[in-house]
Amino acid sequence: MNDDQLSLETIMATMVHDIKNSLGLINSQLDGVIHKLSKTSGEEVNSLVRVRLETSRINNDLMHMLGFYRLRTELLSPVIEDVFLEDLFTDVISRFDMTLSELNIDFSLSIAPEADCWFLDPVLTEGMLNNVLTNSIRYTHSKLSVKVLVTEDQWLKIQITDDGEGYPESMLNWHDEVSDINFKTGSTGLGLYFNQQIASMHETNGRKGYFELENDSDNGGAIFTLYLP
Amino acid sequence: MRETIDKKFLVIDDFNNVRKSIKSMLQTLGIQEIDEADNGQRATKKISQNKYDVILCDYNLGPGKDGQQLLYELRKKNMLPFTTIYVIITAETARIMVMGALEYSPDDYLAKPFALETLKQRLLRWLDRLDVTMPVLKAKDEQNSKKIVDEAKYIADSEPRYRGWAQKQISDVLIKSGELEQAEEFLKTVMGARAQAWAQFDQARLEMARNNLIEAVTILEDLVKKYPNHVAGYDCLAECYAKLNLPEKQVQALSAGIQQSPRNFDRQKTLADVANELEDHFIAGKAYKEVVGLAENSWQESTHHYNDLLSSLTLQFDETDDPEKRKALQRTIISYSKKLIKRFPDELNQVKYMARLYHIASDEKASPEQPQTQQALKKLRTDAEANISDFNPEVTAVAARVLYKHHQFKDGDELIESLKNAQTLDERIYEKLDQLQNEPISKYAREKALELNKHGMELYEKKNFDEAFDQFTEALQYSPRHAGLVLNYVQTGMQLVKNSSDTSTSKGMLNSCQEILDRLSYISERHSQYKRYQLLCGKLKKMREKL
Repeated sequence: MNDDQLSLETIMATMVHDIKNSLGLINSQLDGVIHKLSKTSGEEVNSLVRVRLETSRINNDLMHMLGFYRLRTELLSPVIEDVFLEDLFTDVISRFDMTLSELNIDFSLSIAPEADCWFLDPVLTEGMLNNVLTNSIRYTHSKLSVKVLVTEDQWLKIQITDDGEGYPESMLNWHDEVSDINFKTGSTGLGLYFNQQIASMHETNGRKGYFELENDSDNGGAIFTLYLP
Repeated sequence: MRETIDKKFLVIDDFNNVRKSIKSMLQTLGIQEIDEADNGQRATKKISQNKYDVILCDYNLGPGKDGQQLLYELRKKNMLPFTTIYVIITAETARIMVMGALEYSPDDYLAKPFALETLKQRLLRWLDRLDVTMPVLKAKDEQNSKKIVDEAKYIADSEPRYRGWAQKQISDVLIKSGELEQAEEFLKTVMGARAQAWAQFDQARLEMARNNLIEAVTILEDLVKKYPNHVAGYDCLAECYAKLNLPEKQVQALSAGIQQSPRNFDRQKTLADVANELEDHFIAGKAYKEVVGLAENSWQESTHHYNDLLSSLTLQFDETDDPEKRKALQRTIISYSKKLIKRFPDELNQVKYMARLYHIASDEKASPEQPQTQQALKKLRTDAEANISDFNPEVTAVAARVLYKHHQFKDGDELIESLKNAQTLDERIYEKLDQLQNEPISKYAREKALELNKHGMELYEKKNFDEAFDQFTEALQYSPRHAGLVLNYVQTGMQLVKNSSDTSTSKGMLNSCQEILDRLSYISERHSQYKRYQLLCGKLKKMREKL
């Protein structure tokens, strides 16, 4: 019986889980403070909102660590359901409501009528969208838009566009390879790698989900496009 | 949103200020009828007396039941109508983690703390859901299968937001009401659109309903391979294996389910009982510990679970030679005994007896030669006799087992006979008692005895009676009253006397044969060794008379 011996991975995962719970408390306290201050002073609030965005990023990283743990232990598998997309997006965006309004970001969401429902894992997709939106909000100047539609060859297309500086060259050349992950460039690519895993878990009739990164030819902002079969 | 909403709410949270803050938010949103409860018990009472549209329950309710236990109890006792929406509020932010912990699926989760805007959004969603799905929910409460199918079909066709939900309702009710052909057709269509875990799971349920267990196992094995966290899949798999009489496989499936979701009373209890039957006391002990923990503060809390646990721990104690492990087990036994006394002040007589019983059972110094042990065992016996109709029969059975362990065979037998006369016992306990009388020892000891017995029989065949006798003597140390073994010992002893000329050693040998043979006085005509026993009794009597 090797039962009393915990693997290092399990210990780390348990600790990460614990840290994430603490962070959750910190976040909610922060939200409370921001909410109170927002009625009076401007500048302090703005810097607190920035702090709050960074804690969101930490939270995303922790989520990824747990996600990788589950991937490695084969616990992560998509549970595909027929999901009403408006509900999914309302849930995702409600997390960012306060941040968006504090940072004066002009946000728009449009869901095409034919994209009412789609077969996907709502929990994993929500996590992926949270991750992408956190980054977009961090880098955008003043605008953020989410467009949801169904393409002619029956893919669900989710496009997130901002008006920031766009993706750096290294990220545009990113090709779903572990070797693309490195610590020198500052952006580790781990998030992208994880998102790619999640996207490709959505699979039917030989078609797998994927995403594309590009920069807007007009204003140079970043465009993240997710395709799910 | 200032208009009034004519719905009744219940808010359950142990903190007064949290309840007040949720209540005031709900009031802002136009809800007027709002009840509060600060713990599970008071919530249960309120729910039994009122019909609520929405219940908001915090996961953590302080000492006593938590939100999950409360939901489990309400579902188990059928106290929650389908037309009530049950929402769990939790500080856990990751839904994936919450889903792992919560199985008796609530209708929704709400991450704490939440803003008014969030609550408003959710509230609108709950109300819309109640509104649209009400015909199905009502039909469910009325248990009108045909109506459920008709209404759910209508929703599936006209309301995309609830299509998935409605499809699940249709499949579920078709299987439950035995419309299996229809269910099969329906699931085929669903799976044709897209393979979904719930539909595949229902295909397995369908085969189970048809009693096609092998087919169901195939589907379920594939399901849990694809969706390793499909807990209900493991449960059904375990159920199939139980029906196929494959308890080892059943244990495997239950253990896999428990790895995903350990906080489930029924699953832990089943695992513990099956492992106990298989005499895997390590798994059983671990699961009984969970059972005791999960039942705490709930209506299932009982001395029976403590007895199962303590019994399992003592069997582990008997099986292991490692002094460190023995010490650790002894400490665990003592701490659970103390807890037992603390938690059941109304059953003090029995729980104090149990504490004493398990103390002796795990006492390193206890031995049948010690006058102190003898005294303690006598008292165990007489106290069990005195309470024979009141005590849990399983406790009395353990008392008999401890008496046997210290070679008090007559006392053990008499205690078991008293128990059989005093109470109408169910078949399972009867069998257990029979088995106990026949061989009151652990699997380990039994295997050891079996091995020695086999070796002894080989030597006997070769007419090497001296060595055969040694083997049987050692085997009896492990299994002192196994009928076949006792008879082998006696038969070999008599053979040695036949070949010997020394009268005094022969006398001693025959006396010891008689003493050992007397251990079988409990066996009756239906016992497979009865004839041989009678035969040897006669022979031994003649030999002793001759000498």
